Amino acid sequence: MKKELSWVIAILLFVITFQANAQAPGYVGKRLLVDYSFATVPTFLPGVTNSTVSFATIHNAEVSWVLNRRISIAGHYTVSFPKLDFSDMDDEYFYDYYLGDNRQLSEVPTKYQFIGFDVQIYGGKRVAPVGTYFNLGFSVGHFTLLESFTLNYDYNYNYTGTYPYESVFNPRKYGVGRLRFGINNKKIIGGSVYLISGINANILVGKGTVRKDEVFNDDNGFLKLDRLWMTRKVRFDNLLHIKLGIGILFV
Amino acid sequence: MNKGIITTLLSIILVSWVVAQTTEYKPLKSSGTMPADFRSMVGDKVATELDSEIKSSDKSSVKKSKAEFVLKSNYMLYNLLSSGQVLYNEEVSNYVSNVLKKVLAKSKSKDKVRVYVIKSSASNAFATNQGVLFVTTGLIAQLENEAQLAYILGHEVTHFERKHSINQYIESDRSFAQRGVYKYNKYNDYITRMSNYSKSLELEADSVAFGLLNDSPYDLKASLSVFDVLQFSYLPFDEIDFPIEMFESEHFELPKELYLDTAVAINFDDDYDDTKSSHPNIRKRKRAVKRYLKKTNYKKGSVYLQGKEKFITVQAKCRNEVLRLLLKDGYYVEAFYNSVALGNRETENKYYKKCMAKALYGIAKYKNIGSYSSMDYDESEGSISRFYYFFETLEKEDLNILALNAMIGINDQLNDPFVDRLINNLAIDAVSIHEIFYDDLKFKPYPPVQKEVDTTVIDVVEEKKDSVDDTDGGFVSKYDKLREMRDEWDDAGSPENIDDEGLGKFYLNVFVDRDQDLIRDLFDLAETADEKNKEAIKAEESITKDMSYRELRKYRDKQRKKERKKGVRLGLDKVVYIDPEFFAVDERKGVKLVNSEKKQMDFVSSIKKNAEQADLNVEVLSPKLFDEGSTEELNDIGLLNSWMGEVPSHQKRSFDNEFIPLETEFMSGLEKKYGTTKFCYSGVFTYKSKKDNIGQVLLYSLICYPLFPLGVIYALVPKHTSLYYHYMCDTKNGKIVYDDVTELNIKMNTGDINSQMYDKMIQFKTAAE
Repeated sequence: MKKELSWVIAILLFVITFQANAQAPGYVGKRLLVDYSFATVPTFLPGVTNSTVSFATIHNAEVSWVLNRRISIAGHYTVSFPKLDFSDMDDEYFYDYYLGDNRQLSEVPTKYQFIGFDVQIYGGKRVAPVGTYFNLGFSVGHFTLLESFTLNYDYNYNYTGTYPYESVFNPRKYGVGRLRFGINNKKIIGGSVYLISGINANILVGKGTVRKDEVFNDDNGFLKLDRLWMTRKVRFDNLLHIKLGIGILFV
Repeated sequence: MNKGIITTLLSIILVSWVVAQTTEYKPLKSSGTMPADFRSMVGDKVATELDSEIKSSDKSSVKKSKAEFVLKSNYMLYNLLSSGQVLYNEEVSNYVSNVLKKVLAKSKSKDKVRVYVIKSSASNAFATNQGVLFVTTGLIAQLENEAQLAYILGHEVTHFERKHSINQYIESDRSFAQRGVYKYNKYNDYITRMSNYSKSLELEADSVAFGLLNDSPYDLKASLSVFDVLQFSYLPFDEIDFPIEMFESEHFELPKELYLDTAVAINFDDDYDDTKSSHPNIRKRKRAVKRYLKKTNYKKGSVYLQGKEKFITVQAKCRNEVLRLLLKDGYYVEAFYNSVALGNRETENKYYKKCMAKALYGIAKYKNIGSYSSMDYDESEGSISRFYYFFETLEKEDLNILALNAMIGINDQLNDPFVDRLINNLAIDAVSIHEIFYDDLKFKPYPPVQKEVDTTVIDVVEEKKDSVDDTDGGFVSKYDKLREMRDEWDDAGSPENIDDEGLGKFYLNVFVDRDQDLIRDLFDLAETADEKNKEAIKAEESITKDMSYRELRKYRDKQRKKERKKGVRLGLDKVVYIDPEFFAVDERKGVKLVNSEKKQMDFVSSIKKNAEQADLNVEVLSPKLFDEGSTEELNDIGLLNSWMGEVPSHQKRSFDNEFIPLETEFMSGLEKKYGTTKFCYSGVFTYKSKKDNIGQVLLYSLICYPLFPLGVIYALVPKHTSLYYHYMCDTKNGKIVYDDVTELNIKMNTGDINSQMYDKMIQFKTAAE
């Protein structure tokens, strides 16, 4: 993580130095912007059973540098807090979407952190860094599956009733790449303070192997452990989330 | 005997002084302390006037009309006063003010009204509800004497005293809505109703003005003769013959077909249909005044209280100004005619000669690309129709060379660098457009020709000189000539046109009597300049010459992208912003004037702030920032407005070889003063309107109900369109340097303006690589 952060800082410093003597775009001479934004996103859990909707908050901190009258670049750090809920499947997992029908559902508490780099292109007659822009970014980060314990119920073998069993997810962290894109707007609300708003979507690239232990009693009453290994693939993360934030123009 | 000698000497001194005053022309400008009318926030003035105009007893519809009128009239007045086209504290306006004082010596209104002079070629005078009277230079240029001016001022004062303008506005609203007395009068259309009302006000003003003149020391008969001025003020300053000698020489004569034997008749009918006019026709007005005269115990008063000489001087200044304005506005034939008419009286006056040269340049240049005037000769009246006919009948190349020759002849006497520049420019047209080269021209002396001169008009002039008193600067007045002609007037109609077979090419002989070396140098220069122009065009074309359509499109896209990324990069050091504007308009409420004024102040502050940040040297000439001592700056705005107004009229006509704006020669002082040749208009226009198809959107969002909140937001949020414009010209070459309108579909706040403005300034400052 530290390594990734140093890369972003190094790139930013390089660009700033390179641009120092060039023409001075920006907002009234100011080219460095720092902002914070957040998005409260619904995490839909589809399915036949346990269908719920929960919300998670994604926090984003961004430092942008205006390159020219059309383009600015930015470095960002994103974290989900307190958690995102992901449903799981036996062998393949799509957040938000249920693709199979012979599966069990459970919630796997997950949080993530990303650090990355964005290019912001100002369209129409707008001039960086004020107005509407198209944002395209790539970031790297990791998902952390938090340890969780679920008490499950299933039918017993002679269909006379249900019996409980427990399943435990092991805590695990796995790295992913993320492509983020969206349309955002920065609007000056007074002096050097601006509001940021927009609609964004992320595509995640990466997979992790997750161990899931299920504990249950067999027909003879012995406690048994069924350990499953699953590959988690996540394609979409909070498709079209709406963000809102505030920022300051520094120098 | 002694008295006679003294009078003669004084007359000589006077004429010399007048000539000296008018020979070296400088545009009229205000001086001294700026009057309060020109300063302070309009919003404050509106508030004060609303308090005094709106009575608690007024009906709500009247209150509304009054409020609208006060708001609009104050802003219109401000726009006029801040344009730099209004004169104060200088000779002409002081003269008019003195006349007003004499007229109002016994009136209660003497401390409430003030008069200013507008630099305009139109003949007009009007009064505002605020007690400000305006008289145009065009009107003073047409008057016969001071007493006529006194009557006109009396007429305008009456409009103010009787609150005619605000009453007319209220009446107009009432008539339009068919309220009050108009409720049962639905048979006449709105225009006729308003015309009748307006005519009654004009007759009332005539009547009161007659009384004011009667109370003053001015001659009452001016109240009658002034109507001749009003009737014929659309005609030029005099009725003259065509100046053949300017275009012919010892060995060169023009075809006779170019001269119109009989000028188009002047329409003397004063009983014309005034059903839809704002003023009664002249006959009705004259008849009313004649009645007043009969009832009055007439005693001959003074025609001049400030002296005839003073009137002549003031009128000469106004006529000079009108010449400049006619040239600026592209009325080249009128300018040529008037400068010839005035030049006939003062043969040594260099200014008139220069105006002739400028007018010929304008006529020839415009004829080269199409038409020099929107008016055909048979639409004009009087002697000027001969001028129109001459320029209309000539072929382009003939006119180009004839104008060139005449301008060379004029500049032989003037030796003026600006006229020289115009000559060189017109010579390039001859080479590039008509492909006339030095080798084609003929210089062999032809046998002298016997010329026949049409002396009809001249005879009339001579005859009148004997029969009437001198009333126009020592010359027979135009109106005396017209009065004489009116007596003999019959409605003869227009003369027949010549057949359209053409006159053959005679332009090659035009320079026959000119210095051959001079013409050779001129054409050499023109050919070199033409080659350079062509090479520049070729160089530009050579880049794209061998490109396929696809490559060409790619190339242009690349260029566009480059410009989008880096901007125009003009590399300027300094820019002068002229009267930056901010207009906020609401579709339902109209122009939000008070709000706009406040925003305009912020806009001016933003210009200064952004310029500082962009390290661009910027000067802002904004009347909003002016104080008592800002007269010079306001004069500068006037000059710049004139010049900036002229430039686009030529630019939009796409001259291959650029047209040199004729106002350019007055810009050199400003270039030195401000240290730049770049002057810029800039402003913001925001428009708020209702969105289209709100019903449909709401219906669709109801059908697709999760989208209903979005539908409601769409319906509730109005549509905003903002235009941020720049229009920058270079006084050095008379070209538009930057012309851009940025359209954004947002309500522009200070942040958006700063963002765009700073970007523009960076583009102005950054030089191309």
